[in-house]
Parts: sequence; C-alpha cells; structure tokens
Amino acid sequence: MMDRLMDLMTMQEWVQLLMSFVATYMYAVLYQVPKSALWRVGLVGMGAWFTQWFVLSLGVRSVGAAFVGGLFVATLSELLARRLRMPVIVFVVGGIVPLVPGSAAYATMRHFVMGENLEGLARGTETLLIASAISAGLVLAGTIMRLNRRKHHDRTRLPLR
Amino acid sequence: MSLTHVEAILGLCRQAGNIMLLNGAETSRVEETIWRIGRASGASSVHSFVTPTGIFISVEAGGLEKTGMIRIQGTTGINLQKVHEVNDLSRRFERGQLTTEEMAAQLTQIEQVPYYYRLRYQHLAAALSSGAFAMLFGGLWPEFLVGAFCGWVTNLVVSQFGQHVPMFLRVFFAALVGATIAVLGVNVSLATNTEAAILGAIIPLVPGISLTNAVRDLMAGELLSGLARASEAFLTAFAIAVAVALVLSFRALAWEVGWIG
Repeated sequence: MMDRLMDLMTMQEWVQLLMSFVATYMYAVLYQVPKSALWRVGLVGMGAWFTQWFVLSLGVRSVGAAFVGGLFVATLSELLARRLRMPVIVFVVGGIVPLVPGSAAYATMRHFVMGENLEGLARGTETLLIASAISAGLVLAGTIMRLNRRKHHDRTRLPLR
Repeated sequence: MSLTHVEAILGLCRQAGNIMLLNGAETSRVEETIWRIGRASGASSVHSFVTPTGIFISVEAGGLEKTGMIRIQGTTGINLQKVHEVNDLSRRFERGQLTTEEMAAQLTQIEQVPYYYRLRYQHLAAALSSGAFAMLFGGLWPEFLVGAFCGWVTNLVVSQFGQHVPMFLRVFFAALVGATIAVLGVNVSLATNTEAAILGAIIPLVPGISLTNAVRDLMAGELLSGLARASEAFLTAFAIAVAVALVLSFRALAWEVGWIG
C-alpha cells in the first residue's frame, strides 16, 4: 500500500499533503480553536485533502471528490468531538478549508474579467456545485452520525422538580 | 422560588447564549445550552428562540415567568475556545458541580478574556496558513513566500477595521489590498503563479464559520438561522470575488496601457 502510494504521489503532492496540515492547523489558530484540538484539526484537514486527491486520482470528477471529502470531514469531526467532548464545529471549520474550490472560483473571476462570460458561467456553476457537494457531504455524514446519538431532548416539556 | 431567582436564571441563560453566539456557535447548540442551564437551575420550562442577530428567552419557575431578549450586534471575532468553555461549563453546571453564583462568575470571566492566542500569533498563523494554501493551489516556494506576506497583510487590514464598518466592506478592502500586493509581487518576478499567490492572500477571509454554521443549522431544522448564515457566507465570498475581479481587471488595463510589463 505504502509503496503504491509512493509511486502514485509526486514530490510536489507530498509537499502539498504536508502543507494541507500546516494550512488547516494555522487556519484553526485564526478561529481560536482550543489548543488541545489544534493538531487533530490539522489531521482532519490533511485527511480531507488526501481523500479528495485520492478520489480525484480514481478518475472521479471534482464535484464527486468534494462530496466524498465532505463526508470524510463530517464523520471524523463527529468522532473526535465525542471523544474530546468539544463542539463538532471546532473540527469541521478547519477540516473543510482544504476542500474550498479556490481554483474554480479564481477561474470564474478571471473569465468574467476577460469578458469570456460563457466560460465564466461554466466555471461559476462548477464552483457552486463543488461548494454544494461539500455541504451535501457534511449534511449526509453529520445526520447519519447523529442518528445513534442519545435522543434529542424535547426542549419545551421539562420534568418538574 | 422568588422573582429574583427567576431573573437570575434568565440572566445566566442570556449571558451564556450571548457569549456562545458572539463567538461563532451554531444556533441549535446555543439553544441546547440555554435549555440545559435553565433546567439545571430549577426552571420548570425554558423556551428560547435564537437567531444570528438576537436571542429571546422565556423562563418559567415556580409559577412565575420571565421573558428577556438580547440583541447580537456584529461579532468582534470568532473564538471557538470560548464556545467550548461555555459548553463545558453548562455540562458541569448540569451535573451540579457549580453553584449559580460560581457559574455567573465563570461566565463573566470567560467573557472578559479577549482572545486565546495573542494577536501577533494570529497574524503569524494567517501568514503561514496563506503560504501553505498558496502551495496547495499549485504554487511553489516563491508563491509560499508571497502568499504568506499577502495573507499577513490581509489579516492585519481586516483586524484594523472597527465594528462600525460593515462586514462586506471590511472583507472587500482586505481582499483588495491582499490581491493587489499579490499581483505586484508576481509583477516584480518574486513569484510566477498569480492564481496561487492571490488565493493564498485571501485565505484568512474565507467564511469558514458561516459556511459550517449554515450547513449545521439547516441540518438541525433551524431554517431561519441557516439561511441567514448562508447569506452571510455568500456575501463574504462575493466581497472577495469582487475585490479580486477588480484587481485582475486593473492588471489587464495596465497591461494594455503598458504601465507594467
């Protein structure tokens, strides 16, 4: 497995994998994520980037890869949040950032600026689709992970004491 | 159960909700925390309606009912550490490890801590994050350096604006400054990949919290808050896009006129 990965990933991609960790870790510092969770957030981000890269390398298009990336982030975040007794959002916020469709969004802007409106619309649609796919992944995994949580309490009727 | 007691419960709920919402917690978590604190302090019913811009709480205990609201105006900054601390505190309070007075004191203490990581570390983190993202988006080490510098400037600019400046303008100006420096950096041959440099520069502005909260709120059935957060995220992204488009079109213009090579 490891040998095959070594063959599959170029040097630049290894550096990028490391960078996805650094980027997520530092992004989490911006949002004042608790210190004990920082490196785990970094790992979530790194895993998200790797998942997306792996799915892309299987020949799936970018929208599908973003969806799987979103699934991964939500699943791992729910598990970590339960283990560390922290809000899930602590892990999700950093984790989804490596999935952000930056290149597609940039291409959209560039096309519109150059007056190539048709290409701009095409890339803009792609950007929106990727963003929706990430959200869809988060929703799906988050909902499934919540199913086996203890019953959500009824907020209106409380036992008298 | 006297009226002052009901008022104390209401005050506690209000304070906790305020801290959590200001620091980036999702609506459903705020409501859950308010409910938990209210129940733990002996209220027979707690109703709360939380939106990103205000909280309404109604507490009933011993036949007396008090209702209060608190208006949320522009957050000073996201602080997930505080969200975690209040969440943790409410759970300890629920287990009876704290008295009402201790709880109030702890909440005030959490409220007064400005931030967890010092401001200069935050700028440094923004720089490193931006540099790393520049490499993720296809850049190499020169783009890392340019991206890191631009990210540092972007974060510096966005933190200089006060609360009276609307969020859209804050993000717009920061993105404008960051993208301009990125383009200039490429122009003086410090880096070659404009895309990577610009994307690195705007990373500290990416609305990660709004996006995550929008998804989580919609998922929890909080349609109103979810849509509000989603529009916040969209507005921020739009501000960045407009700023980048402006910089790119100026560059195209400067090319045509021949100001830059």
